[in-house]
Amino acid sequence: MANIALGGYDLFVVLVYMVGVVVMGTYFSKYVDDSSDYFLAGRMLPWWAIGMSLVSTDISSLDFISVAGQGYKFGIVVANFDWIGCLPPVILAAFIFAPYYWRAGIYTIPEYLGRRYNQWVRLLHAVLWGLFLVINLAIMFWATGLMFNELIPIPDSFLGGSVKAIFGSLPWHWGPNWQIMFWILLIGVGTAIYTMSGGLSAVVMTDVVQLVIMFVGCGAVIIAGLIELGGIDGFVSTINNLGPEYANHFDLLLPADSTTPYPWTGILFGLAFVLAPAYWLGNQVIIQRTLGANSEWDAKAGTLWCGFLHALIPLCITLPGLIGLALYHGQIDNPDRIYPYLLKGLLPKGMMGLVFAAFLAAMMSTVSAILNSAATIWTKDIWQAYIAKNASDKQLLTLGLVLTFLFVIFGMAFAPVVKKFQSIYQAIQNFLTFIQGPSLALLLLGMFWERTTGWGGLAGLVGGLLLSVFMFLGQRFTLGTEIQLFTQEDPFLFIAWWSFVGSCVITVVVSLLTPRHTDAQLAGLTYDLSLDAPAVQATIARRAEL
Amino acid sequence: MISYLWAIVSTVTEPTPPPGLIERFFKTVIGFIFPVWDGLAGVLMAALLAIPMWGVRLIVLGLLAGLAVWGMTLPRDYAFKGSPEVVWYRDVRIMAVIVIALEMIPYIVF
Repeated sequence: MANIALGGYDLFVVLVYMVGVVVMGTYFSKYVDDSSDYFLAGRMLPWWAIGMSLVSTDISSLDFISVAGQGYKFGIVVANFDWIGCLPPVILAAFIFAPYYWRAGIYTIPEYLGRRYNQWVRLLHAVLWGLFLVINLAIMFWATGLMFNELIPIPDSFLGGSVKAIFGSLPWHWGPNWQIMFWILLIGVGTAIYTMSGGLSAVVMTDVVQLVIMFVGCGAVIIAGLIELGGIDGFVSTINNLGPEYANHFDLLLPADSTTPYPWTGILFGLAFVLAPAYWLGNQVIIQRTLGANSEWDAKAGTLWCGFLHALIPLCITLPGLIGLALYHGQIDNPDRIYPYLLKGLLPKGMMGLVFAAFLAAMMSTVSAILNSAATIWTKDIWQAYIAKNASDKQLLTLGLVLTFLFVIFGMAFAPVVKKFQSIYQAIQNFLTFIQGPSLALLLLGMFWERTTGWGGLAGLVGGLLLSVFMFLGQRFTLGTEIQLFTQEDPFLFIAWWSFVGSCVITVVVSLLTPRHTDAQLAGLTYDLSLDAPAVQATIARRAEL
Repeated sequence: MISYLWAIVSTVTEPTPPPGLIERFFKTVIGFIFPVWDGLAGVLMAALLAIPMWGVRLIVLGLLAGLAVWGMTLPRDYAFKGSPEVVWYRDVRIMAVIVIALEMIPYIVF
């Protein structure tokens, strides 16, 4: 990967950013008095902060590298992940799910599923998400440390050689990877300080600043690139003249028989109908921001504001890949190197610090969100629900802080293990695909079909998971044979679709075979715009207090 | 359960997995269901390939337009619930239409 040489001014910008974010986040500690303040920002978040935080959380620094690389390789089709793969579910979230969750006074998605289905569904869903988030933290730490170290290798002589002397002497996998561990420690400690001290308020408000930095940094790259290419006309004509291999680089929708991972069938059925709604409607990391909204209107407007801002994200992460293709076609062997290559080739040294700060901002916002959400799930859905039902609010707040601390230590300590088990890295990425389809099936059927029962939901969740794993393993074992299940090598979009369909079928069949819930049990748990009815609101309030 | 899943997944994603019971099981099961799966996939693919790309574009634009229309049909009270004031720029239905219109542009242009 192309190295970026940061000058003194660049390092100063990065340092100012790091210190500023930590100080700002820590400032919000004065608003944290109880567990509601810590996990849900005291339900005081304004719409503009919610929207910006949602986008900031969704985009990590890895997206800058990988999506730009995919844009370089496959073209603008990758932008579907931020357009059709975002807006429709965001609209549904704004009008149905976010206000509903907000009114219900819940903390987590498993909590809703537990009320709608049964406690087994809540436990299974909470354990799956709780484990996924914590392990994903270690993976994100490692992948980001690795990326930063490739962008800016720490020289042996850094700070007089003291960094190497200290980190290099660490035991186990830490010492040999001391440069990567240095980056991991820098990001981990900085993020943990403000996340632990300020809770969700600090996470969201720092996200706002981080998103602004991301947009400014990316804007600098795009403007410099387009100037170099002679404007938009020069940019388009350069790519169009690269040859037939790049003929579809400006096509948002590719034919159904496209050999890329992104034919329109996968984009529509796998992404737009399953993965995107599952992500935006059922991902705790995302939903938690709307749960902390100041009012139901703030929850709705904040989600829509996110949809607006998200429509601009392809300009930040996909367009640079295409600009890189126009500028450096044939000069790099790995598309994932295009973003650092662009930075090195286009930006003056003073600007690199700002873009690097944008990378850090993207990473820290994602890590802080994962930390806060993982602590919320483990505290509310596992500790309070099954271990210490009568825990006081003070105890829950303390536990949230302790868990946040433990998770960041775990993530940093076990990050190098990812290097030894590349298959686990792949497995984790696929694992998210496994649980998205069944999770969405349960959310949609639970919300819109009153006949869905607890056992139906549990069967749908387990069945959908097993179906995903079966298709994933089946594809691996039959790849290249006559009985290959999918034509794509990595058919994650199609696995998501079919696991969703399978989960729906299982949930419906088992629900029809088991006794239906009474109307009293369902009050306020299914979609109804007449939720304002006093009796329903009283039920929701009563449940929220339990 | 998650560790069980990982154990399986890690096993099969190693560079040179030894052929074992699990692999034989999967190949046998998939070999059994493949004719039906392949036939179904063939029918589906033929139907999907028959849709011209301009038709696909219309489907996507129709989906977005449908969302906008549905949003506008929501009750006025619901749109302003919790809003500090009832003025047009705080109407979440109008906000949704603006965001959807913005998103339709790339699908018209590209």
